[in-house]
Amino acid sequence: MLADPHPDTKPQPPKKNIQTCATDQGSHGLLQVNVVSIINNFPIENATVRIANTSTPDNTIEQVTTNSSGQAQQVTLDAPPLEYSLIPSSDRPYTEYNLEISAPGFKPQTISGTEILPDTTAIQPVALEPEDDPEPLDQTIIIPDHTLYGNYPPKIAEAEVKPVNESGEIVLSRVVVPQTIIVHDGPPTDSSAVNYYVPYRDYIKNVASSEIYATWPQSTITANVLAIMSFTLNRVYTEWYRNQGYDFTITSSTAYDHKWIHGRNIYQSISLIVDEIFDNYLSRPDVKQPILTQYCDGRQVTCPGWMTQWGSCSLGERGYSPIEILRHFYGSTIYINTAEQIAGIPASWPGENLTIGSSGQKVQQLQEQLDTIATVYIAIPHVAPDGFYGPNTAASVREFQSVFGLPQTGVVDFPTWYKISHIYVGVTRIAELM
Amino acid sequence: MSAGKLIDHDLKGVLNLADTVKVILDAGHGGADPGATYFGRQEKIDTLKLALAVGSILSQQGVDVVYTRVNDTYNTPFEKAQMGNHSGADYFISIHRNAMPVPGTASGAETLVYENSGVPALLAQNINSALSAAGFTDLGINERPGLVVLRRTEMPAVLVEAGFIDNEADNRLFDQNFSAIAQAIANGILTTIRQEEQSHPEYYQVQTGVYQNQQAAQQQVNQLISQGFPAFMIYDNGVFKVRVGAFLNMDNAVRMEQELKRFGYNTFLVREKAA
Repeated sequence: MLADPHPDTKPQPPKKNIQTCATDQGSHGLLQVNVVSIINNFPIENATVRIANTSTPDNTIEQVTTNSSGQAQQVTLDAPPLEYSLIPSSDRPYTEYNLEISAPGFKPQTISGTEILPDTTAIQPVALEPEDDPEPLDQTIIIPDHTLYGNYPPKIAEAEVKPVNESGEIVLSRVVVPQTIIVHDGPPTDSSAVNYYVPYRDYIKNVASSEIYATWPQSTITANVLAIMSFTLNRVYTEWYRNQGYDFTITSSTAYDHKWIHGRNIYQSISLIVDEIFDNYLSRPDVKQPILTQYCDGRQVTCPGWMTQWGSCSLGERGYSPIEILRHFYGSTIYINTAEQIAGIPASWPGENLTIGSSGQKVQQLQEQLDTIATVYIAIPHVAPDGFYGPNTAASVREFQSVFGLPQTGVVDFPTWYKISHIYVGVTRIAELM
Repeated sequence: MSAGKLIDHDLKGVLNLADTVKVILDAGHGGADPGATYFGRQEKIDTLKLALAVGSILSQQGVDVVYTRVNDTYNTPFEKAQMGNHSGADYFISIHRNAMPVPGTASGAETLVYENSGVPALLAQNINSALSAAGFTDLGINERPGLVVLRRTEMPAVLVEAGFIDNEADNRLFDQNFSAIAQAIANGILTTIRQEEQSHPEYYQVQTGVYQNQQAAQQQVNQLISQGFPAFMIYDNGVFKVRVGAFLNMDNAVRMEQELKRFGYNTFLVREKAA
């Protein structure tokens, strides 16, 4: 070692910690817990949620109870500084919490590692199993590290357009948003890995929450959600795994597909964007199939010709729009396309907003679905399915939007229409008959 | 959708994101025909070596390269022209070396064309000026309508005379500056490809159906027109394709595609070169 460069400087006493109330100056995030029955997706009232920090699991921070919509009141929790999630850093950008959920008549469940980011609302879905359910389920969910923080294998490169397995004159099918994604929770060849049946939008929200940070600029989240959806729809359209003899749509392995984490929390900022654009994907001219848009983090791994997640974050901060971000990485021929069909829904979006004064078959379909939902979510007022959109329908819609985290406009726009479809299908389980 | 078999497009289009340009390189002479000779030096050997070197550069630049020969074989000039026509190439470049009745009395590079106009003239000009930059005296572009490889080829065709084989100085340049000469010819071709792409920009159309039956295609065209869409029909690859619009800006075509989807059409955005 070299000589002390400042030989005449006396050793300094350790500095006093002047941040006397670090907690008050620190960052916070919100947690919203939603509890339903795994049997019928009905909300569970009076479920108790005990919240603890993962590092001190015996020390209860907060205990909340669900209302008739199965929703606990939002809880403010400590989170690390915002900068940790906006610039690549070795500091973990989120705080991990343990949740214990119990309700009369249901088996208790533990979730370990719910990730709370600052200035962001985390939504933790919980599906409880009735005590008398003959098929025992795993009562503990462990959420591993976020992909940008932990170590995961990088994506094995593939062609972004797959050969279509037909010859001569071919009838190319339409691009369809599927009702359900079958996720194989492991590498393709691991036959012991579990297959999960996940509604498409829930799958996309889970992947986006696992792959990027919800604190990122909105245009960055949108660009990444589009890439995730296009990749997924390529798997669906080309039946990539089925053609190899497997019985699933996609895997949860980062080497092959995107990260998906069973039972993890999602984030409101991501959820709202997915609800807005879930029928979109990415196209190029002369290619019918959705493009298999691959990406990497851009920090631990680099990937020329693909989007880098951290790169997309800095472009979003510089004011790039989603398509500008995507073209920066995938070239000028990429464009945003719309799927021609959405599978597993009782009725398709009428093409324009429904509001007070609207009438007709679409209004009636909406009212019927809303009224059915109201029998299960009793906070939502019943509506008479008369085909006329009046103040009562608007009030019911507004309450629905409040319960399901949408802006309370009382107007049925695209996200509200399909959120109503989604909940309706969930509580009636009509999807299983379709 | 109306009756008729719906076929979106041929499989080739799925796999090729962009149309690649194909060039056929013809090494002059070969086999029993040595071409011009000078103290044991044979034209057919110089031309093959140069054609392969040019082809290698073009391939690296993403050009689809084919050859009339890659070894010491003989075909008549007519057969070579036919090979070019059957290959589907966009450009035909024949590579030769020059000679004089009295050896050593001329020097330099020239490029021969059937007629000094259009794309062949542009190609010849680009190659010859690049060769002159590589050290050859520029003997210019000359019309030689009698040459079979120029007359019987259906695509733009030129014949490059890369210096005189009976001139010591030209041979020295050919041997010592060989890579630069190959690069010069390749650059002349690549420049021409780029210029042609720019003068014929791509445009975008939305395809709504492909039919074997013309009546069925016409029915869809009529329906589209009645809905206010600028629809038309083309005959391509043995089928009738129904298309809407022609846009230089892809994003405008994308907007048209969205509108057509709202009407329930199974759309497909295609990219076409302007004729």
